[in-house]
Amino acid sequence: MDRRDFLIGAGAIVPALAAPRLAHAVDAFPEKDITFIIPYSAGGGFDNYVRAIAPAMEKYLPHKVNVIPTNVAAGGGTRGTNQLYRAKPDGFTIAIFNIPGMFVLQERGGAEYDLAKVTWLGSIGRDHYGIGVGASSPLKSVADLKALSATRPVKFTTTGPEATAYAATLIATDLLGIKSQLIGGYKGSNDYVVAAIRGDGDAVITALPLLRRMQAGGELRILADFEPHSTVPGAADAASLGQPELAEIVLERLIGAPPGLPPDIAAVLSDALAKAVADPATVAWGKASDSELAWAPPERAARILAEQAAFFQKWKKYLAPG
Amino acid sequence: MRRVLGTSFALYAPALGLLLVTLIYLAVAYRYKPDLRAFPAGVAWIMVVLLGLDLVSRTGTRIGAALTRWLNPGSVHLGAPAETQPRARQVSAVLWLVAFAALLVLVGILAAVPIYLFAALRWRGRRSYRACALGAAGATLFVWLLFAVVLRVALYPGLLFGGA
Amino acid sequence: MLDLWLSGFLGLMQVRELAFLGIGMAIGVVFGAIPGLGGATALALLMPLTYGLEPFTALALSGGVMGAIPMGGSITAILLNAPGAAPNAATCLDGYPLAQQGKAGLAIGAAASANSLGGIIGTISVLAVLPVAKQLVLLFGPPEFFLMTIFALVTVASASRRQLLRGLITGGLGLMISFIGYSDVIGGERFTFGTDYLWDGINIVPALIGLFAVAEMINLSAKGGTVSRAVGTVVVTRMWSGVLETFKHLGTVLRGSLIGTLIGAIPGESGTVAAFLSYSLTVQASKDPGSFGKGNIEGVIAPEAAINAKDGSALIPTIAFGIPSGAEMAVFLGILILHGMQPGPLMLMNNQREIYGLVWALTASCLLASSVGLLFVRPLALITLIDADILAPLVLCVAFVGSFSVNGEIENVIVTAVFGILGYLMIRFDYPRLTVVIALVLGNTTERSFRQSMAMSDGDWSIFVHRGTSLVIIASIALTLALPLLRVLVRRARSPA
Repeated sequence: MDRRDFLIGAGAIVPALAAPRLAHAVDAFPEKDITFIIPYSAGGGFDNYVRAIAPAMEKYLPHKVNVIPTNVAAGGGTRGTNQLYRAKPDGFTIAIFNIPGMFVLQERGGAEYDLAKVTWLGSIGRDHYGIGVGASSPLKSVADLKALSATRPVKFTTTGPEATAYAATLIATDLLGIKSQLIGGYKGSNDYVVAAIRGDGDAVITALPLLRRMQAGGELRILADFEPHSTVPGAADAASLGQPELAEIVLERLIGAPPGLPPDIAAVLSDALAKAVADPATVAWGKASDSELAWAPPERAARILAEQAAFFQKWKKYLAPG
Repeated sequence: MRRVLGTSFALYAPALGLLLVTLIYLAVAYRYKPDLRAFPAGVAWIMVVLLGLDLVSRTGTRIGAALTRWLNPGSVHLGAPAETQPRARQVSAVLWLVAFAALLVLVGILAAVPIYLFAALRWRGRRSYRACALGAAGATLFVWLLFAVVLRVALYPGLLFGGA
Repeated sequence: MLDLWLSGFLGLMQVRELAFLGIGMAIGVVFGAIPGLGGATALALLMPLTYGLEPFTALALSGGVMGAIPMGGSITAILLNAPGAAPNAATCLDGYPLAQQGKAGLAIGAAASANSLGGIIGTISVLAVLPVAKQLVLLFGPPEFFLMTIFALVTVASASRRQLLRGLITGGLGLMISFIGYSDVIGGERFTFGTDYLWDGINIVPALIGLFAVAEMINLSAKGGTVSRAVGTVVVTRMWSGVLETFKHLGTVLRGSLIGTLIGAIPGESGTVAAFLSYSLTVQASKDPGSFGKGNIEGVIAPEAAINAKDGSALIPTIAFGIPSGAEMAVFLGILILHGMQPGPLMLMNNQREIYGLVWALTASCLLASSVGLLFVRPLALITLIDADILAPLVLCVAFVGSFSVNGEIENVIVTAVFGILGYLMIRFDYPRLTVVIALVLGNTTERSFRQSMAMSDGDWSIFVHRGTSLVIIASIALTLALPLLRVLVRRARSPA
């Protein structure tokens, strides 16, 4: 043991004496505030979801404690996820996960977490993707996009290679047989969707709720909805496009805890989360803000991860090079 | 102090220091693929030229004087500081800062703040032990109340106490 | 439209809304003053407290915070060279020298009135422009952003023409630092050495805290004494003279407000860019550019007018399309969504009363905060009389902890320390800090928007001259470059033969 380890060990004794015990009766749980990590900055999509369900979750925990949304933004989400992964598995730290975002970052290398070992508490919803073009665009259908791609690559606006939307765009255009060129570097989903509306690029592939909002405002036209059967009138879907795999391009919002969390504590948290999602205030918020919330239990969450892992293994070539 | 081209060597130091940093930056930039390094390397090369001009402008030569007149007319002569500060105070001021930053990283915020304040008020401020203790305690309480209680920021515990 | 303005105004004039506006304003001033905190932190803290509030009340509270942040930031910028928020760094340039001359009261008075006037002008501009907000946002794409950054860099370099070579060097240094991090337009990390922290680049707030607050505290410790070298005059605070100074320089106020309104709508660190651009253009337009940086009151008025004017227009891309023009707006977006108001074209159609109410709240808060600042000028000015050996450690404590609180990253402390030493060396060796700030803020944007433009046009440079907005910006760049020469020619033509 070297001097540094000794000092760290000696220094750890004092706070360790005050630290909560790892194993404690589930009846007493929770006895202090729970930290809900959001691995992005305040104000973003994932931040909104957590801040919407956190107060509701407090209502359904067995004891009165606060659920504190905590932004840990850096490294595209890796820092917050690393922090969750390293936290004590005592039920007092949970986090929201962007799947496949966190999966993509893990595959690239450099992340300290292994999603396969995370204790999954459930899923609060998923978004399918779709293709949109500006309202004044001459492109009226996916067939038009294919025709254009015969003459030149179709330009899609998106974020950077680390982000899900980038991989989703490459995979979707590959499946549809559209030659694509990505104009990346936009800072957020609203930014690159507006870029397509403005005409920086020809089209955009992103999550459906955002496309729907922009279409409702008259700024955008949805050409395709990657759901198995379209819920957008006039838009093609995965079935009619002959590419059922398009429906596997999704954005999942999973909730997880550090590896090794005792199952009884996980059950308390899952139960509170499920009720929070169904809470009337949360449902009303979802309707008013056009945000899709749908609870799926922990077993389903684990299956979602496995499905996404298999999907992205197949499309590994489109994950950004390390 | 030795003079080079009519100017004491010490007065070239700022430009030489920046030039060293720029050259290291360039060397690192050339390890990246061409696309990635285009902008940083481009700016760094321009910096090398500008720093070259800065060095020449510091010489006591006619070209140096002309460069200063055209490109830096508002500068105090050759970049020598306008007011003198005792060397010991300058070094001491920087070292106290570095020590405080190191303390924050090593032992964390709630330990570093009172230790630093007590020591600074006592040995630089020459206040009484009682005043130093009160000042340190008061400031620490303020920091804890505002950041830990009101803002609920998890105050960094320090590398030695388990901080990442 | 007038009926909507009125409806928004009347909606705000309710006891509950005004009470929450006042609370927000008080919090805004305090958070604005403490380096590292700022609007984003204040709003994130208040977000859960708004859960039970009516949307209009939540907006009154948010507007109260956002409108007051700049005034809080100006106070510490002037008294301690410690910008409370990034844009206030521009106020340090002449505000702090004024404090050193014992004229803190004059500076704070001018800042308060410039804040208020800038806020009012900004509000009127935004109210007039809101009906065409969407079209405005759509006018600015990557080619326009690239040209805007060139305009800003050229203007700031031009303003430092008395130290052009050193200004270009520090600007280059700022650009070099701005390239640190992951480039999402190319896809790859630069100068991160494998660290998570540097993946996102150097955070501007800890850097500015170091460059201004910490650097000055090192300088003060090395010098000894107090901030104010003119002990006797600090007691006579000349606050009302400061207030009136703004009215003597209405041209500066108008210019700053216009710049703040225009730049504020651009996504990114628009507040910082607006403040520094306003400062630089004022230096350029001045008959005595050499007096700036040494306590010229216009050097306080110009950035302060811009900072408050930008608050209103920063709402435009945020509300029109959900694109935040900075961290504060990003958190504000979250508050809107939490209250069922989804920013976007629909919000512009369905929530106009709320939007106008918010704009009024911003203005009211800015006026209130300025008044609060004026109320406390006398005791605040006495800070400049505290001995350096007491003041410096206290300021450094708050500065470092504030820096840490930005995302709760301890590495910020290291960044602040490094920039503090860099800033101190720049003071000692006479290198301007103005250019390094603007380059640090804009460097990444310059590269990103250039590459996006080239991707849009398949490498055709004519994309920069094909669009109307681009041509206007190019003309502005040409004018900025030509202005010094034009002034020399005009002066020669006017002087007797």
